[in-house]
Amino acid sequence: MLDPAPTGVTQLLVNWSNGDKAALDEMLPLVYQELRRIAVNRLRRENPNHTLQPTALVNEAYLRLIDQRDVNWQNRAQFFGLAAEMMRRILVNHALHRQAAKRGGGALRVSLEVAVNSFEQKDVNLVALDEALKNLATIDPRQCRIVEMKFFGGLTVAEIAEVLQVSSDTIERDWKMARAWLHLEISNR
Amino acid sequence: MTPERWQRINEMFHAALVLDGQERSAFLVAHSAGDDVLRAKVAALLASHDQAEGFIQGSVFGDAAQLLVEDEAQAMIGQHIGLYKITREIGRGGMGTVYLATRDDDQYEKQVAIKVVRRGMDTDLVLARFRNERQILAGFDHPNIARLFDGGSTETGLPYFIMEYIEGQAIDEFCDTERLSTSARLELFRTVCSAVQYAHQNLVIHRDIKPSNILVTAAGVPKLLDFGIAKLLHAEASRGAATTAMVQRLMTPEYASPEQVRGEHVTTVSDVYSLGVLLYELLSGHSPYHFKTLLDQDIVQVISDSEPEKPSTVINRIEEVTTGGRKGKKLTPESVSKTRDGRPEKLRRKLAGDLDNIVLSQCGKSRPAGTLPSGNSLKTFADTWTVCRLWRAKRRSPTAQRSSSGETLWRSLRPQS
Ligand SMILES: Nc1ncnc2c1ncn2[C@@H]1O[C@H](COP(=O)(O)OP(=O)(O)OP(=O)(O)O)[C@@H](O)[C@H]1O
Ligand SMILES: [Mg+2]
Repeated sequence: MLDPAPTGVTQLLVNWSNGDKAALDEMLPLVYQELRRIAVNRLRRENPNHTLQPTALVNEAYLRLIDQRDVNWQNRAQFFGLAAEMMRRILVNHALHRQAAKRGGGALRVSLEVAVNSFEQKDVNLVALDEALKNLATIDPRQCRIVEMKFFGGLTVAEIAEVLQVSSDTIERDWKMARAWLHLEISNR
Repeated sequence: MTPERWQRINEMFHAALVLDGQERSAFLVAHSAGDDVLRAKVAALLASHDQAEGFIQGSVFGDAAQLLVEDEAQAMIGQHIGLYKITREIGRGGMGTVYLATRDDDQYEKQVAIKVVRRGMDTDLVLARFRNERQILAGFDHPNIARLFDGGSTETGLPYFIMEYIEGQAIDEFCDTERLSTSARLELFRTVCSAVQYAHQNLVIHRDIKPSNILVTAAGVPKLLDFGIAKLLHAEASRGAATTAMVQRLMTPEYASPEQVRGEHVTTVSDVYSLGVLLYELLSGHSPYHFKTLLDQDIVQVISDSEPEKPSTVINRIEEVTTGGRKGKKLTPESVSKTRDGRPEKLRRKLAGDLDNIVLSQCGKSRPAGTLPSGNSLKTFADTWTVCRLWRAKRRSPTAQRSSSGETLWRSLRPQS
């Protein structure tokens, strides 16, 4: 069975949404651990080749970490945004390590190669995408978050609409623009 | 960029998006009020949109989750398994991760290696098999076999095995760093064979003999790792149900016998085959088999049908090592001989004849069939040793060398069946 969830994450989430930046730093590792634990557990319980359902995974972490009585939908949206951002960091850090390892000629760990090969098939340079997203965030934070939630966080348009409490049409529009903008930004580099 | 301008770009972009070529340009001109920068920006975004079809389509969430799970390895550091505390990662293989762990009792500090099997195996099945084999494996008592102490499952449900920690180098790297001569390599190989023979006498097949599973200590003592582990992890494979891909994941195709890659019954003869591949590499530096691709049919075809070049001539090749710990190493006649017997001609002379024959008779096409009873494979070992010994003796006495040609010596020792 799962261990009891760490307490106090709810308060951290609320503090963070009230502008307390330090709360975020405290919260990140807890969320990370929880996501990892759930991912590992699900992969164990279900069959090994099972693909994880992103919303369910993040939602489970949310329900376990956050006391629903003390939060509102904005907090939930923030939590989903946070999870997507975390996935982005994990992948970008990994891509950076991989680049470094390639340059240094160091041997790669086979198991990680498996994961990364699939982006190479998708032909996305994650490091360049990350840079472009940073720029997009200064112009249009919401568009940046939509890309984060969709591409890194695996949420559907409808789910993102629900999290952000706007219509699906708005998400679709923002998504189209963000994608065109990022594509342009990356190809101009 | 001001929010107003960004807003404007967005509006024009979406309005123009539903129009096609001609209309678009007209629309942009009409609505940019002479602001050419604005018009150019929106036009560029529209063009980009049209090219961005597959760009960031789908999601990489699954890959991130995979990394999260992989990161479990990192999370293992500092954790306890039984009485041991994990101190660092030693390495990763196809089936899991090996950690160094210490037992911090008051009385003594002891280091062990713990292999934690990767996620995806059926833990209960692996442990059930382990309980079956435990008596035999834990009872192994041989100076050249790393002890297996215990097995179990981690808190997160992964099977693990606690083994004797061996501080050493993989046998191929050891031989190269120590620049062992051909005869010193043979001597080391012989010791390895004696350990395998011991296990075979106890009816245990290794199934995964290769350099990373044979570490040599600083004192020059070879130690075999992972004895019997492969079977615990893939009884499926021995039942013939395994695909080649699975066998591949479980063992490096370079060392796998034809019956192994075909998913057929594995016997002690399969270990002898892998020892043959190992000897081939120790003596020549080159791999006997090369795969064009890692597709199942290519591997099966190469291993089942092609005949390796003789060690004495393969050393003339210039090529790069493609797998294992020596991956990326450039092999030339000079580099290969330098770490062995000095000059290429000298190495060639040593390998030609008996050694060529011995090696190819074990990992080439004339090897004994994979279904021979184990007694025969043991005999093959014994023959090898005898030949090696005679070979060494011959080299010491030049007259003996001239009086018996390698061919006849070899024929006289070959299994008669
Ligand atoms: N008991 C041990 N003591 C010291 N090092 C070990 C021990 N067991 C394994 N290692 C090292 O840890 C690394 C990983 O071992 P592991 O057995 O998982 O993979 P492998 O031997 O490379 O491949 P395979 O999974 O096919 O056995 C290897 O470099 C191996 O030499
Ligand atoms: Mg091993």
